[in-house]
Amino acid sequence: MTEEHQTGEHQDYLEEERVSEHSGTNHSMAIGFYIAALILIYGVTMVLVGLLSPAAPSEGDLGFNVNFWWGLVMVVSGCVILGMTLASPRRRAQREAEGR
Amino acid sequence: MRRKEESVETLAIVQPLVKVNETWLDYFIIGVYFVFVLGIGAVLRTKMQTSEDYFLSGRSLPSWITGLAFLGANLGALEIMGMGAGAATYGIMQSHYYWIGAIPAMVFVALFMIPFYYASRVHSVPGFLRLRYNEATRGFNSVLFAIFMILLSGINMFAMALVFQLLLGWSLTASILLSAAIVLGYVTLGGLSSSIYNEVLQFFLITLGLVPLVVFGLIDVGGLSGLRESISDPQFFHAWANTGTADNPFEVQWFYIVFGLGLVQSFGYWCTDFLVVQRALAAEDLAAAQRTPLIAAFPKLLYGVLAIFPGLIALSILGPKIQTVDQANNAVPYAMAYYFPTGMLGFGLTALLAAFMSGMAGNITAFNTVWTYDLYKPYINRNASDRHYLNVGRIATVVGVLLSIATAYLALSFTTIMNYVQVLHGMFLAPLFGTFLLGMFWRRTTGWGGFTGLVAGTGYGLTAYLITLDDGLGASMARALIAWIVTLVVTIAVSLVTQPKPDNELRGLVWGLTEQKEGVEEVWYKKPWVLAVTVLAITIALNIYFW
Repeated sequence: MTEEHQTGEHQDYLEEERVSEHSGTNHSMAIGFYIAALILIYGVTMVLVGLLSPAAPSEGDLGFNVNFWWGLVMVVSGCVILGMTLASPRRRAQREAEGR
Repeated sequence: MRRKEESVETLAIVQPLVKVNETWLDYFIIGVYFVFVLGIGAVLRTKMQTSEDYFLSGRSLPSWITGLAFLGANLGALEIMGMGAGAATYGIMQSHYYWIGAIPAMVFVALFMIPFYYASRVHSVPGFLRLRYNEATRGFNSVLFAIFMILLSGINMFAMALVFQLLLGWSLTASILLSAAIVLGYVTLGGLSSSIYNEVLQFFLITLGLVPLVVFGLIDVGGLSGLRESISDPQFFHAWANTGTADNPFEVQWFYIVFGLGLVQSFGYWCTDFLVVQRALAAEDLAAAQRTPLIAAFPKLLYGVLAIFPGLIALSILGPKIQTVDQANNAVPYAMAYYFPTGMLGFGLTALLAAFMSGMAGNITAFNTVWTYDLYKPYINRNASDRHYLNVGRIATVVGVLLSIATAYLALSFTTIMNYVQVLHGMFLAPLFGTFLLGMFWRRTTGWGGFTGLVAGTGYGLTAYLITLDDGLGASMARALIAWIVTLVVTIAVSLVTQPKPDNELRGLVWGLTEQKEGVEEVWYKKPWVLAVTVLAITIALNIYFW
């Protein structure tokens, strides 16, 4: 409690403890692409497993090809996420800013 | 505690329930996940130019990312395995930890506390304590928080190892070492951004893994009514109806649920745990920061169903033998192994793995930030270059992971993961919430008032636990409530006899001395109060439905 006695404006108070407003570093790496890619890879793998090497039924088997159908749901989800990422206004704004 | 004795003999019977099927497919699915996680870290590494990029993502992320990461950091071992275990042991009452025990606090932190945190431009929660109170309060809280994070990180690592063991049949130690190496890899490379991106990724994986589990399970047992019949304990299906007395699965009355859990434990966690607050601090502007907890609140509601039902389904298909210490923690993986064929099972278990890894990475990033900004910088080396602090953060990551390995084995000695975490929360976070509440809303609170209150509250929690060693959920709720009251009373008493800070030092830190810097948000459905009212209404509806 020594150096901070002489503070004028509150902004100066313990300024060294504060973060600058923005670092200026661009963080717009599109996480959406990574998510979509991972889900698509898993979805396609499961569809293929479901079609080509039908697994032994699990104990609580419900009588349908789980790998195929849930794989399909994942492929669709992956496509939706990919579409949303491509259409994102944030991405468009950034591409315009880069003059492409 | 009473369940501990039966566990040893049942263990042998229940063990072969899950067969280890080690195929190329499982290795492929896990392998792809690891490549992605480390790949994201490697890409982000090139963007880590300053220490602020590393510790705070340069305050540059959009709110949907910070919002999902806010939840992702919270959805660690506790929320998936722990809540599933709790549901198998206590029934639908476990949902109190999702609904009354989370949503009101998430709304409160968004509307009333994030503006202080974000606008005061602090690096961390202890950093805020430094500004509002004094160096001693910051130091005390930083040390406690660092220990707390390492303990939690150990729990996540332990849970991760359990999944590896189930999935690939590896030994617990080998699994712990592998999970440590992966988390170490990506946090060291990409810092908080790496951690946040993986939390978002994890959120999608775990949702895609748990939704089919609940759907298949409910189809199989014949819906909610079928579940009721097969479990045949009506108390398991009422969240509130039996809380007039302690004659319910939790063995707690509604008073402790509402005030111990709903007020103190929950507000303590969501409002002051730097693990989650750090995600909001990484948002690009004040409006996005405020929206962060609200965006997280919606999937949190959903997880009340996605994490509770697998536990109930496991109980229904496996019977009461699942309600033992070691087996309850595995309720969710068991249910997966029961319904999912090879392929789907590999994916489901990888999703669990992702949840624990991101939970652990969250603990480690919170730890390295507090260590660097609140312990190393003020007490060890004040005037080093930015690059130096960046490297200190990376070294702290390595040390944090190594210490977590040790604490992973500690998690083995508690009734369930859930009980262990609640013991820790009650001790570390409940007193802190008292300190924050007074600090933010009563300008007369003094630096030493805050410090003595926090020490007294934490001291009470620790002593009360060490004397009784009671890790029951009700005991934790009661302990949290008393620790919080001790903090309030001591803080007020000491504040009244010590010198308050001048108003100009408190500007921006205390309600009433802060210009209302509302985040500007034009779109109606993004306005904080619209989101807040909606999520609260759904919470009330769910509680009535499961009354």
